[in-house]
Amino acid sequence: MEQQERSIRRIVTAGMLLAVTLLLALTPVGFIPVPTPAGSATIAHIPAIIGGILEGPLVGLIVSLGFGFASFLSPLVPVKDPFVIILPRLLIGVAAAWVYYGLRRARRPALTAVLLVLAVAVLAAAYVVSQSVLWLGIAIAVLALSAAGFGVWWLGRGDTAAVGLAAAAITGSLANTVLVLGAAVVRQVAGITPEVALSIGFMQGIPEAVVSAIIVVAVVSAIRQVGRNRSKL
Amino acid sequence: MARAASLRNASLGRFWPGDSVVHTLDPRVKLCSLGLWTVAIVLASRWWVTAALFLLIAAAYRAARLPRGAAGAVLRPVLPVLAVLAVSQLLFGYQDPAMPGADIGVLEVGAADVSLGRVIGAAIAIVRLLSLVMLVGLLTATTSASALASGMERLLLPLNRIGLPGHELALTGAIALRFLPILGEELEAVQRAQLARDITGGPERPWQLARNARRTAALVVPLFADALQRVDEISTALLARCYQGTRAHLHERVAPERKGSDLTGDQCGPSGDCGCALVCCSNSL
Repeated sequence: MEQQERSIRRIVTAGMLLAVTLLLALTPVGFIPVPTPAGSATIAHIPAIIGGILEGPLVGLIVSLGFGFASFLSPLVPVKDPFVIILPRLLIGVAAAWVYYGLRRARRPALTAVLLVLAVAVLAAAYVVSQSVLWLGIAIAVLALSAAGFGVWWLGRGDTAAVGLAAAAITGSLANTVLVLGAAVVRQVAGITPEVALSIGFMQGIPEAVVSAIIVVAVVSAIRQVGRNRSKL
Repeated sequence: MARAASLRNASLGRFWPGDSVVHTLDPRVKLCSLGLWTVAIVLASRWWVTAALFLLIAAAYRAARLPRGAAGAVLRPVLPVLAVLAVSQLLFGYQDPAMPGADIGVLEVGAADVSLGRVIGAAIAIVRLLSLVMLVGLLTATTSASALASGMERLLLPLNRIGLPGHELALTGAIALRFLPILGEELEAVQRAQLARDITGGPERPWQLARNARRTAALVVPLFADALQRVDEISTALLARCYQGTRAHLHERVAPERKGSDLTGDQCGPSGDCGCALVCCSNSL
């Protein structure tokens, strides 16, 4: 009975999150105005991240597939190549679930170590970028250091569960940006050269990742009752 | 406020009822054709294949006997995108060096040199995008939401035989289609409430990222909370009706064409199938 209940819960969660995905992908609510050539950043991938976090990689995969199809069918999305629009998006919910389950039981020292390793990796990438475009490399380094500093400060407040949620949300969102843009470059989508993809990635990907982290932490904390002054997961 | 009112009608595209050959085709055939046609359009490398596929779609529109405005309604949202695509293709597009006459200059705009090869490339890119948009538009214009759900469900059922959860996937899709208009109404209510509190009002300013994110979060977080709270109620309703994962023609009861209010609790039969449970619990929510 327990297993049957869990199975039904998974199906219903996937269905409801799919409905939210369709709603966000097909109406202007799912698009936040940003000062980039595209004009808006999407948040329609957030249900896939929440599905992965709440019910595991399979639900994340199903909702991600729904997001891919909704984007493909939506008149608001101009690119209609399934190898760019549907296939790379399958990993959004799965990546978020893996990161969340990896960090769920992690304690403060482990999370701080993960943050520092990530910061060093991004700093190394910033050094490579600065060899060709100096200002971009410096910008990435400043962003990485401020993000790492914010993460360490956040951990200091004792919100390890919320930091895990934010890391999962950022991973899911970046998986969307990096994989879709990567596929667009590989499939030679009109107007998407590697340089254009890189600039879109920074201008769209970072605001999307930040907004995803804020919304995912707010929603999952409310649903699971986690947070600083509440019981832990 | 007009933006708020439009949310309840979120749909993949408008359905135009009719009795043409395209309308009466099995939804499974239409879905499979959509998949194959899309792959063919995406993979076609010769211009005449792209043109032939486009002409076939135009012929299918004619066979569907859709009202005159149907194709226009499908194409109107993508017209600005087509213009941007045309300009970017003309100025920076890929140019096939093997194409005869590719080097012939047509126009010089500043530093950009538009050649005949780029003009042909831009035309192919536009026809390809038009084909895909019209194809998706044709499917949604000639197939109701319930028929689409039915087609999806029947296409997924053979997965059960190889151990994959075909029925569960179909139920997931049915729940999504059933609750899409209900959540649309909920989102509309949240938006009206936030407008009344002056949280989501005012002009859109792309540079104010934090403000835009806050405005969106004020709409989306209550929507997620509502959707996830309903999960408990629906799961309990399905369990209470002894749902065992048996096939129950979900589409016939689960996905009304426009709004949840079209169905009443009286239509729920005594059997313990999931479609009935969904209709009953969604009407009571």
